[in-house]
Amino acid sequence: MKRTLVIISVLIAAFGVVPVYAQKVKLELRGRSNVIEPGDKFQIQLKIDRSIRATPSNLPTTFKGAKMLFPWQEMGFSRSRVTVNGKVVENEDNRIYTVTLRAESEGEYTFGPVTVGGNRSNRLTYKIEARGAGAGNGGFGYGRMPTVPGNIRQNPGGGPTYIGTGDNQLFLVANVSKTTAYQQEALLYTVTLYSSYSNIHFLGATEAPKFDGFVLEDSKQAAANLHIATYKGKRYLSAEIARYIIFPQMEGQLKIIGNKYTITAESRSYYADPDFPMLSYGSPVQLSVKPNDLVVNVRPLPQPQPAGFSGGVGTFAIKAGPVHTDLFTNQASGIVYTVTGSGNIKYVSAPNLEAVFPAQLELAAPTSTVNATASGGTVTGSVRFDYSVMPLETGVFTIPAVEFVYFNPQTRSYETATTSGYTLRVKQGKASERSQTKQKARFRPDLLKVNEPLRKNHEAWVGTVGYWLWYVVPVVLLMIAVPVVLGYRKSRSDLVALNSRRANRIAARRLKLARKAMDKGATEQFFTEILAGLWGYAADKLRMPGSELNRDNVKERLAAHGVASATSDEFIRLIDEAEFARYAVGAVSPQQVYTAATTLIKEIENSFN
Amino acid sequence: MKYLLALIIMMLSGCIAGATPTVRQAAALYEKEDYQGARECYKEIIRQNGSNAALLYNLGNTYVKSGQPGYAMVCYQEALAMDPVNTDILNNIRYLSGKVEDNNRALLKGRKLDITPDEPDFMRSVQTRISEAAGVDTYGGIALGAFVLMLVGIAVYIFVSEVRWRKAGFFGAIACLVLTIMFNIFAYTAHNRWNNRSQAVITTYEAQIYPEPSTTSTPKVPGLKEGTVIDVQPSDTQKTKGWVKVRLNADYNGWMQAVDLHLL
Repeated sequence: MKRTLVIISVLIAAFGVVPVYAQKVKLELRGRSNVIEPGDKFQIQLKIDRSIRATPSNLPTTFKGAKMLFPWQEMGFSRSRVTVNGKVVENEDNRIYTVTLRAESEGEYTFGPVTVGGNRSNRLTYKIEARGAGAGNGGFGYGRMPTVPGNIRQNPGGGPTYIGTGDNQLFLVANVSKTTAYQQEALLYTVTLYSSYSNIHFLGATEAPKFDGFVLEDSKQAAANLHIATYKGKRYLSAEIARYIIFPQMEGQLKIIGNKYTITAESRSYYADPDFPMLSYGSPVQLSVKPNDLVVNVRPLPQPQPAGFSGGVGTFAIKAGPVHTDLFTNQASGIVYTVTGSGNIKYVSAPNLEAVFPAQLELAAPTSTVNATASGGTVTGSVRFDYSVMPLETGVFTIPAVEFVYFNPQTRSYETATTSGYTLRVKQGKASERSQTKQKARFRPDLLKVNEPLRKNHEAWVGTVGYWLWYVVPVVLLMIAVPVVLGYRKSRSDLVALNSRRANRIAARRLKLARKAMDKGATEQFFTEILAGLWGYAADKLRMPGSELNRDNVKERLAAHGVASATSDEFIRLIDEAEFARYAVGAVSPQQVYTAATTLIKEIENSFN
Repeated sequence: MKYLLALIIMMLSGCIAGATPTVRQAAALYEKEDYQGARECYKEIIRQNGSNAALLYNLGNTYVKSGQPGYAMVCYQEALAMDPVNTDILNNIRYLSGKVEDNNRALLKGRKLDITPDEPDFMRSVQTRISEAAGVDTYGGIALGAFVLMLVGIAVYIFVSEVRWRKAGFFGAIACLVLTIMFNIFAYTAHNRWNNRSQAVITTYEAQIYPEPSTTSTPKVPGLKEGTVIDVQPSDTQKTKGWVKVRLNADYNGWMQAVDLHLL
């Protein structure tokens, strides 16, 4: 029995009729709580018991805080009966009149009472308020069907009657996690879709959002599942359709311009039908929607930045290793530093190991491997810096702690993460390794001595006028030298001819008497004159008294004056011949001796100096 | 105001403008590891008295020590042009190039791109060999010596009557003429290499190569670090003011902003 009551109560509640007490004329809000959002449509019902025959007249047409959209209309009948223990406790049989209103201004208003056939109704209180309390329960928006207006009667033929479409709103809302941020601070930019269409078929971005002054990390976690969400008190089908993690790169007012989406939604048309409670069918509608633009106010990182600032903004930790502590000379080995944390992890710079590493260990610039994913409002992960180290000498080297300085936007201060230091032992490696490793040049820090003069003009000497002058001058000198030398040569060769003539003359003079004797045929006298001529010539030429002359010193002296030994030998031989011929007449031809003597004198004249 | 500030900086660093700092003062600051002071000294010396290869090399070292590989590379390259056979300069250029290449490789973050410059073609490698074997003026001197020897040969040919000598003079003169022409070509080649280098050094921390001469185009490759020596290609300077057409290799070529570069 009790159960029956519950069921019936539920049924009554479902019909929106709450029987408080039996009243002949009643005012009610139709099908909703009495809190209404501005702009919403709502209906006031007037229920009149069947026992009252009178028709309501002069019903008010002005409503406080609301505007009448449809005037009072008779909607039909409603019956309800509440039975408790087989006894009817409530039996309602009402005629219903409805007025459709639109909420205009906020406030709490009272309507009524109205009088019908002498029966006064209750006062109806309704509240118009911006945040609808009944969002989840009959709030307007997604899932709302158009109300069947009272003036549309069911078709006499029984066919469906078009009564309108749903609410059909669709918009995108862009949001950024912080509107005031530090440079390089990770920000989350999302675009959320709100739709009161009954379904979404397709969604595609025609262009990317414009992030001026940001670098972005496209997050792949953009949820595509539609769910029901409440936005400003209304219910919508909703989905987060884009999610970017962005890092502002410069200070100032940075603008994010939303991108355009093409969305195909399902627009549903509703029909009233006598046979079915509500008929509807959907047709696709293509829409082009753009979310709102946003402005982020970006502050620069506080100055001064500490030395060794890595550029990291977020929270980070650093650790060294894994490290092989036993190394060999000339064998490259890897040293790893890993920075983990969240923030602009992809943009942090490697810790400066060169500052702390001893010079005996040669370091190559690190390669970095980023393993970071966007999650929540930031990018979390690690970046691994692989350094290649090449020990050049054996020994034990202590590597001090490495600091990683970053800016923490939460505490608004620079913080330092530190690794532990470690010790590397370098042993002698194989000598053959040396040839396999490419010898890298090492920096020579010593300054050079500045010996040469400083010059402002570094034009090369080659190609200048001075350079070409060095070509011209020798040529000119040669051109001058050639005629001079050749002229001198010529004049000297003239001198030779002169000397030759002079020698002829001398020979002729010296041998004049001998020639006379030869011409006369006095052979003995001829040879005597030849000998006198030759000896006299030698004495004059060598400037020696005739008494000091003998064969040996003549030859010696002639040689000293540059006369060839062959010539002087011939000279002596001729003297010997002439002396012999003087006593042995007829043995030697005087003509031959004369010619030989003439030739010899000429030769000596020419070669004598 | 700017000058006053510079003056104060220089005074603080022990290097006083106006009075010419000496090379010795600069070296002393360098020894004291006051690299900035030493650098300012060298710059002041160069401004007032000019430079030479050794001074530019020293300035380059101060840049390396104060962590500015871009300007260091510029100094070394200019020093090399003045003294192409200096092993110290060549060594530090090699060292710096290796460092810069490592830095550039690190920027790749695992992307498979080539960051070594193009292999020079035959003519260019010959040019490089010649220009790095001796200085321009050395070549010029050799050429001039050969020319003088040629004249001597001609003189011998003209003046000496003995056939042997005349022959030697004649052929010697021809050989010397060939040498003169050859070494003048070498000198010209080397001069061309150093004076029309069509190369540039990146002097900003990291410079981007854009596919078009505009910052609105998106770079296809990671940037290049300071100190990278890059070839400059001819372009219509009127249309692309402020931009330089550059090429490192098939992967890295396009346009760079002129402010990022120091043309050699």
